[in-house]
Amino acid sequence: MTRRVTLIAVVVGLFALAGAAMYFGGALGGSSSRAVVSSGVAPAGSGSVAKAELLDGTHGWALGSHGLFWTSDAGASWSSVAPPVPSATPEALNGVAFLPDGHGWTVESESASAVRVWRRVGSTWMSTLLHPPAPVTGEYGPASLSFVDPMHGWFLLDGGSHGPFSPATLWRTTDGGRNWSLMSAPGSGVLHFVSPSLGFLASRPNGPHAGGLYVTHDGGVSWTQAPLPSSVIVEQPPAVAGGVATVVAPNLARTAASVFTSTDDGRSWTVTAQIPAPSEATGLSWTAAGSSVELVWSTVRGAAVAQSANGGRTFADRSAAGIAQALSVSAPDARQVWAVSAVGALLASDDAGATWHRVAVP
Amino acid sequence: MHGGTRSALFIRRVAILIACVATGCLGAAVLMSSTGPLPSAAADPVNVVIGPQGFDACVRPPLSSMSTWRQNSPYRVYGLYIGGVNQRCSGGGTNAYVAALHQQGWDIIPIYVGQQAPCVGQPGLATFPTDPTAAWNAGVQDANDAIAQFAKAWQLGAPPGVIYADQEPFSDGAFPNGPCSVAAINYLGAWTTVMQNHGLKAGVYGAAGSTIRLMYSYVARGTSFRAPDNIWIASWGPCGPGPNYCTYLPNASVFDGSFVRPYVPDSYWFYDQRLYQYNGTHTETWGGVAISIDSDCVDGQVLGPYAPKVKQACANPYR
Repeated sequence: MTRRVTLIAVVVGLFALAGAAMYFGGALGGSSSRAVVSSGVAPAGSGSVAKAELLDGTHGWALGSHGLFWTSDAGASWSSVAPPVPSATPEALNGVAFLPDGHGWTVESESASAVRVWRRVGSTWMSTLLHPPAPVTGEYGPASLSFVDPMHGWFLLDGGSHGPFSPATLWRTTDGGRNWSLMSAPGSGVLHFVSPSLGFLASRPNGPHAGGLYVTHDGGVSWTQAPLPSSVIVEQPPAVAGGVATVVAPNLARTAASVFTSTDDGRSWTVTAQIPAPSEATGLSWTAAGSSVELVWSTVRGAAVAQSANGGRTFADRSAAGIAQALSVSAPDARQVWAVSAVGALLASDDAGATWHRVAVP
Repeated sequence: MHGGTRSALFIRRVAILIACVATGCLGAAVLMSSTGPLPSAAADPVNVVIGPQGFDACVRPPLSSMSTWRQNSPYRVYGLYIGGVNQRCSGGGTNAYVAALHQQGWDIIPIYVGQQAPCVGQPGLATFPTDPTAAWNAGVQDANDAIAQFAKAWQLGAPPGVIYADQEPFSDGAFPNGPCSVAAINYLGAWTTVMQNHGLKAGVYGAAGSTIRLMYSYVARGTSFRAPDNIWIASWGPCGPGPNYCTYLPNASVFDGSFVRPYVPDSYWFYDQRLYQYNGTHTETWGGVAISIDSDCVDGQVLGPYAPKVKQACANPYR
């Protein structure tokens, strides 16, 4: 099954004040023009979006205040694909994953001792009830779902991360979600599997493994920590394209970031570049699509962008006056980008971030 | 003394009045001193903060981020992990970082993650023995180490101070008198004893349904358990179905009726002696800076310069 070549960047620390025009200068695609993001009042009928993902050039999904929706035309139109739950909202659905062909999965917390994993085949939703270990303080945490094809998928459930503790349970399915087997996990975090055997886990920013990157070569049966320096924090799993895994990780103080690449399925890593952060940087988000790698620093004064067209070996600064905001970013290629803003807007770009427009979601 | 109950306070006040009238108040003074220490912000060098909110974060945020949050967020207190065998958060309590935080205006909750109960609900943690004496000794050991780590971070040769022991949720089939519970209460009693004998205030962080409920049960039964000066209750219910979708709750209360009161009545640890963790790890953004945090109501003893003149939302509503 075709898997998207590019991975989705997880934006860390990009927020802006609502009600103001947003500028995303220094286009991700290489243009030096200032990017303007329309952030005004949402079109009538738009719900507030909590999560969204553009899977390929046309297919994507969005989870918001009015439910779970699917698009086959990059957001021009939407159809409801909510499972038959009392409330298909971000408060009720913990974790969502779709493939471009419409297969989908989501997790619903049933109680303090059970979760229900829903799977969508065609237009039909079915579910499986799982009983993970009881969460340490009575509430399960976030879920991370990753599917490489309609049959092979993984579900990582946070068991109540707090402070230095990051309990989690990992499940694997080989039949599309009808049955799940308990695997092992080094802790909670964000999953990304590349194949039925190769997967990555970026640890949540707490717990004994905070900021660590873990690799499995046996589908989640066992994990080893990637030999990356302990001075960096890996906040999102690597992007993998053409056999090359790329990950960008800032240091603890957010004064610099390093680009690491691996050509042996994450067993060893090479520093490709080290990029100084702008002054007073507070967070870093990044996205990779093929050989294009874009870094967006957030600082106390605004955003700063750097772009690489050679897989992260060299970067060129891009202008980025103003403030950018995004909670998450998905980019199936170097040109199309979706971003979910901190105020619940879904923003889309067709020119690698040079310009943005708001996408209305029901 | 566990901190006093409201009914006990009323009885003491009546007795004091009677003693005062009968003896010209000399007897009243004796009676007051014999009821045990009640927290007094004026006399206590440890800052008692009445109801601001705070957060704890395992990965130590950069000082620039903390500065932005101090200016833009509702938070005023920061929980800093200072040591312990099970503490594997980054950064730790370096003196420079602590000094900078205080200079920015933050109060700090020093947190020590030492040995855990033998029936702790998470695998892979270092635990103290089930034997009560050995558990007590483990508490002494951890308390002494915590004081050393605290002194290093704050560069104090001696108290004042307050340190909170992090005791993770545990499950004892014979709660509260099973071997694991008895071991835990011995560990916690030792922690408090060492802290108080060194002139520090003792705090204990724990889940409402295990650690906190355990301590309450031993206090309520009038046992010899030496209760901590402060409790830090972890109970994430106010956020609804899962902490994934919860953020800052301006009206969180250390006496939450649904998620705190069922485990420890309001009259226990009543006098600004409570912290309340109402949300687990999630990301919040203030002033354009995102930090992954756990959220806390703070109505108890912490360290630092911030001392609100006006009672904040988290505070004891009865006082």
